[in-house]
Amino acid sequence: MTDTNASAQMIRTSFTGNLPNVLLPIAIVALFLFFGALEPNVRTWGNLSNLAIQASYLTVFALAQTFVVIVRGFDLSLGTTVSLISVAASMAMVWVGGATGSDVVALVACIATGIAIGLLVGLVNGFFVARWQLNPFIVTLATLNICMGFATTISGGFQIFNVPSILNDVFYRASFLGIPAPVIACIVLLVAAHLVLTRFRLGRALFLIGSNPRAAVVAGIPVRKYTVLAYVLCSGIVALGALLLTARTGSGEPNLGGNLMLESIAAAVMGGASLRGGKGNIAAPIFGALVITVLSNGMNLVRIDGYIQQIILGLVITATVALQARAENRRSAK
Amino acid sequence: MREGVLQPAAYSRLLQVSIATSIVPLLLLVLAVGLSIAEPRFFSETNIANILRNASYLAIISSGQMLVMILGGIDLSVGVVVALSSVTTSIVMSRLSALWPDHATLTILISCVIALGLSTSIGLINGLLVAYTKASAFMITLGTLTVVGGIAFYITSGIPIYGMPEGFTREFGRASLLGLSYPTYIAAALILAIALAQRHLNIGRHLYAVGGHGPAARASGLPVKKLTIMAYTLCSALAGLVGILLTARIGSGQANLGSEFMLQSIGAAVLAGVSLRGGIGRAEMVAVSSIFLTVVANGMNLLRIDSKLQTIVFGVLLLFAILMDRRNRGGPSYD
Repeated sequence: MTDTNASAQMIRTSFTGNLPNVLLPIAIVALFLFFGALEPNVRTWGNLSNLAIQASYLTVFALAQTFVVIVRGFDLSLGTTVSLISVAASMAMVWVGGATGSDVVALVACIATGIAIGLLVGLVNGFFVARWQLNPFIVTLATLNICMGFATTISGGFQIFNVPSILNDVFYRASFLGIPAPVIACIVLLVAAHLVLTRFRLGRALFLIGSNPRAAVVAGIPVRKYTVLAYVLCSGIVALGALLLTARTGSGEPNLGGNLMLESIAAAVMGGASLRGGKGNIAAPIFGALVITVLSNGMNLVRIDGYIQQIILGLVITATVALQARAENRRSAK
Repeated sequence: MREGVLQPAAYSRLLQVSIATSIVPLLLLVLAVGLSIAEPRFFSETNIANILRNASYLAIISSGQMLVMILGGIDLSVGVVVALSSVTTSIVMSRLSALWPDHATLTILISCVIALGLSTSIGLINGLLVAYTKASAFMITLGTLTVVGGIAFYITSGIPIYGMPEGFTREFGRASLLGLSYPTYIAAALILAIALAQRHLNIGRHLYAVGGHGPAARASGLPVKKLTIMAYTLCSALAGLVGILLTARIGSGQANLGSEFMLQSIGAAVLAGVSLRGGIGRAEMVAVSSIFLTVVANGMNLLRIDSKLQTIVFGVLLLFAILMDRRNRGGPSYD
C-alpha cells in the first residue's frame, strides 16, 4: 500500500466508525434542548449568535491544537502564546498608531506583529521537536514559560489600553450577511484546514507521521519539514485566534491565554483527535468546542454557580475521555 | 562484561549517562559558588535554611510526579490536590478547634488525617481511571484537575480560611530544629525512603519494569494495574502532605495554593533526568533539581532581577536540560 492509500484510509476511518462523530452531535443537540427546556432565554436568536461567537474562539484554538496532535504532538505553549501576541500586537498597534496617525497602518502593524510572533513560536517548537527530536511536551512547556515571561515583562504585567478601536471594529463588530466576524474567521480557517488535511500531500502525510513516523520516512515523506510545518500551522492559527480574542476586549491582556492551553487540548481530544497521534479532523475541534460552549452557556443561563460549572465540566471531560478510550481499546482488540 | 572491562560502546554510554546525571549537580555547584561571590547574603544561615525549606515542598511533590512519570504517566492534578488539602485542613481544623478549644493536638491530628485521606483518594481515582480505562493520563488528570480545582474553590468561595490553632500555625508551621524547618527534614526522610525503595524493594524496581516496557512487564506477571494505582495514589498523597505543610506555614487555607506546582513538578522531574516515556528516574536527582530551581529563583531575587524574567530562565533551563539529556528525547524518532 502506498502512503497515499494508507493515509486516505486513515482519514476515512477517522470519519466513520468513531464514537465522537456519532454520539457527540447528538449529545450537543440534547444538551441544547435540555437547557432550552429549562430556560427559554437559551432558545433566543441573540443567545444562538452569542453561542456561535463563543464557540468560534475555542474552535480556532482547538483546530490549532489538532494539527500538532495529529503528528503525536502537543502545544502546551498555546495559552501563553495568545497572551504574548495580545500584548505585543496591542503595543505595536498603539505605537504605530501614535507615530503615523493612521488607524489602517496601525491595524496592519498589529496583524503583522501577531502573525510574526505566532510563526516564530511555531518555528521554535517545531525545530526542537522535529530537528532535534525532543519531547514535544517538554519543548512546549519550555516555550510556555518563555512566552509567559515575555508577555509579562514587556507589558509590565498590566493591560495595554488605548488600542485604536479599528481592531475591535474589524475583528469583532464587523459582520457579513449577519454573520459576526469571529464566526466568519473561524469558518474560513476550518475550510482551509479541511482542504489542507484532506486534499494536500502535506495534510495526508501528517496522519502517517503521527501514526507511524518510521513508515513515513520509508515512504519518502520529508518528515522533519512537515512536522515543523505542523507546529508553524498550529501557532499561525493561534496567532489569528489571539488577534480575534484581543479585538473582543479591545485591549492587550497579559493573562488572555489563561486556561486556553488545557481547554484547547480538551476540546480537540473530546472531539475525537487522539493524543496517540494519527487521528483527527476538523470535526474534532468543532464538536469539542461546541460541547464545552453549549454546556457552559447553558449552565450560565440557568444560573449554576461558576465553581459547580467547573466541576461538571471536569466530570464531562473525564467521562468523554474514558468512553473514547474504551471504544478505542475495543476497536484495537478486534 | 565478565572480565570487568567495559566495551567501548558501553563505555561511551556510561560516559553519556554520567554527564547527563551530573549536569544538574554541577550547575548547582557553579551557581552556588557564583552567587556566594556576587552576593554575600546568599550563604547566610537564614538564606540557606530558606532555600532548603522552599525546595522541600517542590521536592516532595516532584518525587511523587517522578513515580507517575516512571510509569510513563503524568499527573496534572498535583497543584489542585495541594489546594484541596490546604482547604480541607483549615476548614476541619478551624471548626474542630471552635468545638474543642482544649484539644489542640487531637484537632490537628484529625484534620491532617482527613486532608491526607482526601488527597490520597483523589490519587486512587486517578490511578483507577488510568489503569482501567487505559485513557491517556494527561486527559484523565486534566479532568481531575478541573473537578478538584472546582471543589476547592466551591467550598471556600475563594476566600482564605483562618482560625487554626496556634499549635499548628506557629509551633509547627514556623518551628525549626537545628536551624532547619520541619519540612526540610520531612522531605529529606521521604526522598531517602523513596530512593531506597527504588533500589532495594521489589515494588520500586517493578515500577521501572512497567514504565520501561509495559507489555513485557505484564507478560512476566507483574501486577501492572496495582502498580499504576499505587503510583498515582502515592503522588497525590505526597501533594496532600505538601498542602498541609504549606497551610501551616502561611497560616491559612487557600483554594489557589500550589497552582504553580503542576508545571514546576514536571519541570523539576525532567531536569532531574526523569523520562516522559517512562522507565527512568531517581528520587535523589529530583531533590537536587528541586534545590537547583529554588536556588535559581532565590539568586535572581537576591540580585534583584525582575521576577517576571524568572519564567523565561526556567523555560531556557528546561530546553537546555533536555538537550543535554539525550535519553530524555522521547520525541518522534525517525531514524
